[in-house]
Amino acid sequence: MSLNKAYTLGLAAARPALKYNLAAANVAAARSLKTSAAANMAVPNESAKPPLNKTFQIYRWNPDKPTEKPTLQSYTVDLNSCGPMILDALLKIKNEMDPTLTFRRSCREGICGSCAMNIEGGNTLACIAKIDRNTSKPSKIYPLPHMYIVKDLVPDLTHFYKQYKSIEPYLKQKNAPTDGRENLQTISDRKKLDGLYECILCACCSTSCPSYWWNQDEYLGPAVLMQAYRWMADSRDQFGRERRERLQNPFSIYRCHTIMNCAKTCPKGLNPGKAIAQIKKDMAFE
Amino acid sequence: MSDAVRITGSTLARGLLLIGIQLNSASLVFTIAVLPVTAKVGAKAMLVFLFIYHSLGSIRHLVWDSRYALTLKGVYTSGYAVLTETVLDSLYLATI
Repeated sequence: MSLNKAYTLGLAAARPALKYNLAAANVAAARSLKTSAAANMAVPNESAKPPLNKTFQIYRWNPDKPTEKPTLQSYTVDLNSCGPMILDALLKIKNEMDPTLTFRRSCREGICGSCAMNIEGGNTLACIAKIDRNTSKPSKIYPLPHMYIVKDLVPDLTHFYKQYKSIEPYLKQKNAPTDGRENLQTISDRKKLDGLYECILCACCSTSCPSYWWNQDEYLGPAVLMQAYRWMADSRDQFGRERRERLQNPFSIYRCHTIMNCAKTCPKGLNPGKAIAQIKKDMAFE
Repeated sequence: MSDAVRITGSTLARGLLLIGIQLNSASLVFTIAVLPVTAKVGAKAMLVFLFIYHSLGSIRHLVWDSRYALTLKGVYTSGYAVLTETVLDSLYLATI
């Protein structure tokens, strides 16, 4: 009965309040809004280096106030207490200065494609784009060009994903594999897929293509076309001819004028322009 | 650069069409022949530059269509080659 009373009154009579015997300061910290994870993290040694302040000019637009025009908002970040990549700076701004800054991010290692944005005029992934340490010039961060914006740096990629779906990006076969179980593939055939399968569909290339800017509705864009070629080039797929037939119209592929912005901007170092040229050649000689 | 190939193509097409419509009168030919040498060479240099740039740029496109030089390095190398070749050829052809 007395023990129950202690429980209900919240008194620490019979049992210690905390399982571990912590110092008073940490107890106070644990009782405040700080979590133990945050309290145990390393503290940057602020006094070691003088602050290296870099200005970031970031595109802002709020859909809750749609009549307000988009603006460039400036933020100053001390690079000596920030990670080396643009995503680190964006997260620092969001955590410490402006929680309303909105952007997509996930893997922080250049493999998911979420943080694709226009940095200093070129489309790359923010998590693998190094911050330019030259503090005399501000860094300009814009969303992917010529896309409808959901908020701040978040583009609306619905149509992009629809275009990807339209090329049927999966293995299609007419005959079952010869041994009834595995789709066998030689090493040299597998090599043909190198440089094609690594695409993470970040949309950097498609949104860097002027042709895609002007004809987004009908032209499929380099990302989707490279994946279309990835399935045409796969020796296990048997629908190559039909896949090429689907592109036999003036817009789906032939809006490509070999501008090659796609290859220049790909953050993974892939070459969609080359893949598209290969498709054109295959379509011409079929 | 590729954009400039398109622009030179349309400029040449329109300009030469307009000139071509008017050049069937012998008097016009006579008027141009009398102009000072510098004006003639200058006009020829401009015309030749656009023409040669368009021709070499188009060859570059044909190279790409045959799937050569489609890497980043290839694009830049062929681009510089077209530019230097244009300057050299137009200097030569303007003085003929």
